[in-house]
Amino acid sequence: MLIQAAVDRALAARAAAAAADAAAAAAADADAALAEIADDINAGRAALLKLVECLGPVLTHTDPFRREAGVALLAAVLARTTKERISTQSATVLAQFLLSRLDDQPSVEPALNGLLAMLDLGVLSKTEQINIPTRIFAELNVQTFQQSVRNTVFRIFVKLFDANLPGLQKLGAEFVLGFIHVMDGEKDPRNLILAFRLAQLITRHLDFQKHAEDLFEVVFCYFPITFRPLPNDPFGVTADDLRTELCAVVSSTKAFAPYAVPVLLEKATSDSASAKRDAMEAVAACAPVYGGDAFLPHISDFWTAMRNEMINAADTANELAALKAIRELAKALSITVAAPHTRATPLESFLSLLIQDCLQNLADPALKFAKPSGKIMMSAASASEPACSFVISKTLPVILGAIASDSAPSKRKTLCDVLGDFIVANRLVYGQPKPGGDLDVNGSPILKQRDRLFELFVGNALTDSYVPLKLSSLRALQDMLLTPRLLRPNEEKVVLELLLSWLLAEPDTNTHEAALEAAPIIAGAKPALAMEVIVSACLESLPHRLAQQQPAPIRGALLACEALSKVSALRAHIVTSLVGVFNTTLSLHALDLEAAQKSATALLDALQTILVAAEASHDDGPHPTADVAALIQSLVATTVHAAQSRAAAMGDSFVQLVALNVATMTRMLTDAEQTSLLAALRTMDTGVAPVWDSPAPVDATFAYLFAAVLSNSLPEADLPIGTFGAFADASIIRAVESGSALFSLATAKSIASVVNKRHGQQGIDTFVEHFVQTHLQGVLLDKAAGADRRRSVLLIYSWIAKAFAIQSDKRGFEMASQILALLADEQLGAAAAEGLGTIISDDAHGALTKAAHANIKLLFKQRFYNHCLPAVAAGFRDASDAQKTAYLFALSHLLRNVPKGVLLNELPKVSRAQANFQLRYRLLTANLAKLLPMLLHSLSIPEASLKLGTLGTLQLMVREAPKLVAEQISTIVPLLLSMSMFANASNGNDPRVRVAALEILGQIMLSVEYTALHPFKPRVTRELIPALDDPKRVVRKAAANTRSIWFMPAPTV
Amino acid sequence: MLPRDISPDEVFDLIRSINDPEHPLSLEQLHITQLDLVRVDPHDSHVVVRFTPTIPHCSMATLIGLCIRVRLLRSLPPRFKVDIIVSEGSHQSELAVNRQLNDKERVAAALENKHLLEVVNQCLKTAIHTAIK
Repeated sequence: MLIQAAVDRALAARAAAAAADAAAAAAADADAALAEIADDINAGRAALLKLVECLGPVLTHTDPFRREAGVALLAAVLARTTKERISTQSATVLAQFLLSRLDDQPSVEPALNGLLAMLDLGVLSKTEQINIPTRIFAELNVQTFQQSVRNTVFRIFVKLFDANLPGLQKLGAEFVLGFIHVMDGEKDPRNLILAFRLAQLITRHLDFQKHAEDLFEVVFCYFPITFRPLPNDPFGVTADDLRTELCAVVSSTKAFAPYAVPVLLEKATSDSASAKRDAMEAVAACAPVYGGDAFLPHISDFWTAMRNEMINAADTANELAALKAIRELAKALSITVAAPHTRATPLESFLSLLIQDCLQNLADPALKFAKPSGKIMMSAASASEPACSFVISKTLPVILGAIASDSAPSKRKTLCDVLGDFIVANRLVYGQPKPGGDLDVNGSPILKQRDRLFELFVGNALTDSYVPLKLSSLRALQDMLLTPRLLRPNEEKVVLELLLSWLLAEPDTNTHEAALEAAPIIAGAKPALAMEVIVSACLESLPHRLAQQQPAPIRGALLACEALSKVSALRAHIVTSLVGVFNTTLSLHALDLEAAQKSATALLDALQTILVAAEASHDDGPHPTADVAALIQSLVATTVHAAQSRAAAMGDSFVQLVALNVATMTRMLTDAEQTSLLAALRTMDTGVAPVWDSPAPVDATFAYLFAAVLSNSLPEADLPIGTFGAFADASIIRAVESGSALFSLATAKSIASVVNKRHGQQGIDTFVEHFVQTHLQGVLLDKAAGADRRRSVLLIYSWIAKAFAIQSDKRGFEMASQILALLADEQLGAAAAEGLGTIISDDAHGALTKAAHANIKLLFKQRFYNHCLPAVAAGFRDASDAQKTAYLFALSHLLRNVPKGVLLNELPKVSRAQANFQLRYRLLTANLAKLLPMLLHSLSIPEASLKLGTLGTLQLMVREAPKLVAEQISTIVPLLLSMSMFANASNGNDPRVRVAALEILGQIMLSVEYTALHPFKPRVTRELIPALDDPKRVVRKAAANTRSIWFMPAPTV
Repeated sequence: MLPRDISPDEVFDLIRSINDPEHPLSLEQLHITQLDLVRVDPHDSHVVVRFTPTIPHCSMATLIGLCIRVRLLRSLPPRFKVDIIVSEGSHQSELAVNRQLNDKERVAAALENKHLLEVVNQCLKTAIHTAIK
């Protein structure tokens, strides 16, 4: 009698849960008892019918709530039982019982749940399944029940479609009618989604013709959907979901057409923009299903509605919906058979209406509606071949005539745009290969007018003086070129020559910009022809332009090269040629070094842009044909040779620019290629002076470029450096002795890269131990060692620390602590701050970055930040005024490079564990509160870069911790005001600082509580007046915006 | 002193995204304000903004002008004298509207009116950028 006990316990607990205070405990008990019963049944220790027997007295109890509890228990057990435990016989009994409970109001919900559970289990026979809807229709007025009951009913229906479609089909019209009654008046969005889906199932599978109108009415009354989800969207149903399902019902069957078309027309002409959009979207969805003939009687009214929408479109979504509806209607009408007694086909009568109106608009001298008219005709023409042919053949002559007869260039431009639209429409219809067939361009209406159009556009583009017309013509020519088999080869060449002439013209003109935009598209479609006509001409023009030393033409040609290199087929050739031009430029003795460097810099910048784009695009290998290793070698050789053979020193920044390109190109090579490249560089001979004197480089320029290759190589590449310890020691001595910053940086990067990536080298750890011992004690901590020497060593020291720190080696953090201690050193303070910046920032030349295959542990920056911050904060507190700056710089570097999320959630583990927002906020605030005094102090130091970094952090605080800012508001606002004044520009407040200060001032008004700000309002609005007259436009703009924000009424803008 | 080249373009930038009091569209979208209709004389610190009401009997013309006036009051340096007028021939009561918009006292009095200021601020909302990089 175990089960009896469990049942009693479950029922008692349930009653307790409903009544008593210890509701939660009782509910848990009920649940446990329930699980026990289910387990018993599943394990075969008890039979289901036994349970019913036990429940007997409860199920027939006079108290309705007792009865309900009994049925609920039964349903809950059913939901947990396995199929095998319910015999056919007991299933029949149970189903009959549950169905009979449907006339007992309180028991309806659990009874339905039980039925759904049995359906899910699949234990009911076909007849019993069909009894469920019949019984529901007979017994229940579903809409009088609560949402959950209605939801269950819909789910039962959905399940039935799945389980017993033939049964439902037999029920047929009876089910449809019942469903209509069940659904009528439904308001809950979750239920409506189900109801709409059911309606689709009905139209697809059942015979609903008798009730088609009723079914349509009961669904369409929700059109247009105006539902707005509750805050936080507890149901997970959006208006768009409902809209999509509703639209799917309406467009699911042709039988709805007679009822739908008039009402859709009514909605399409209503006043509400969203109703109109929904109606037009529905028209677009229904047209293919209903067929053109359904719309034919109302076609002119639909056209009027859509035309109005196009001309007075409230927003682009409506415009797009209208265009799509036009297109779909034209498509549907294209296959509609004409009535026998009419002359024009349905399609022609629709298009005639449309063309007539559009041509009328185009004839209007002001051409206000020309653009929408062009788009309308384009949409209609792209629907089908007959539509395309009809629209274009009817309108093209008229438009061409208008262009010929009209002298106003702006009007001709508008008409050319329309012609361009036609070419696109034509391409959409005729340009796509037919399934299983070839292109069918012969019927294309544009083909017949090809010569006339081509002449017109070329003439406009070449000779007209009105620039917008030229641009529009180029666009049209581009579209003609992209249409397969439209232009003859010689005509294609004409288009490319035209493009070339624009590309080589003055930069920063509209034509040049348009040409830059068109170049990759056109060259991508015709790469061979582009190579022949455009690319070689652009490259050939370069040396001449460089020789003339005028920046604009050089830039123009380089921009053209950049645009063309977006086509992967052309890229290798362009890159190779640019490197060639660079080599000639730099080795030309006729030019003085400064001019040569200037030209070469422009070339390198362009090259870098191309390489970065290539690296990012990943298309079929960056250089399918170019020999990248050879290009790198020639770049290095030329640069080093030029640096050695001239008296004047080559600027470090120039070498770094070369190195940037070398680095990017190195990353494109395989490890084998990198190995042989490094070996080749090692033995390079410039003919002027040796670059390598075993065991290490002797030339600073060479060393830096070599480091760029080395630090961007894969760890698998072999290094031609002999013994690492000897190489490193010799490099350090030479770099420090030379006093060259470039040499030191080269050495630092080379050593750090090897330390991090190993490259199979021996003796690294011994070297580092030795280095740290001798140089830390001997140089860094020895104030008598000389400032330059100490700085060079510190640079190398920082890089080695970085190599360890990024892979979370504790030596890195120990070394960083030494650097932190040096912040107080008056000679090295600034350099130590830089050193910390080096460690936490990403190198622009790739050294020790992910891209350069460095060994980096996750969350390194966060860990490093947490390691340094306490030391920086403590040091700042104790530092003298002269020392404070170094700490602030260090802080600025840390803040600028640490991920913003880290800054805000410094203690994410705690917050996640506690899942307590309040606590998290307090921690965040405490963390930032520590920083705030330091931040504010650094805003008063006249250093633009320091201020910018700090303002970035302050901005974050304003957004994320406004309460904290409010506490300090009386310090912050005056500080920001004084920083935004041009009069204080000499205190390191350059335009970027002024803009940032103004933006934060605006952000404060939006984020910080207004009561804290109110006292400042008159002051801020008054003191911002001078900023409105700043010499820089960006500052004026920011000032105007911020002042407007402060004028707005509180608290929201 | 550095050159201060406040251009028509810059002034237009300040007023283009003001919302129309009646429609959810900006003055630029409705062609009420256009770049061609802004004149700036930087030497005399004089700005003339013309605007074109959508229809000649537009009852909102004064309100639109007031919005432009307030926006420029808040955003241009005070050394500028600003004239705001309806484009010639674009409004039935052109003269009256112009007089109202360029009379300091009447503008000040209008802005004393709480309700009116609210409407103006509502229209100016859209001209403000609230997003920060």
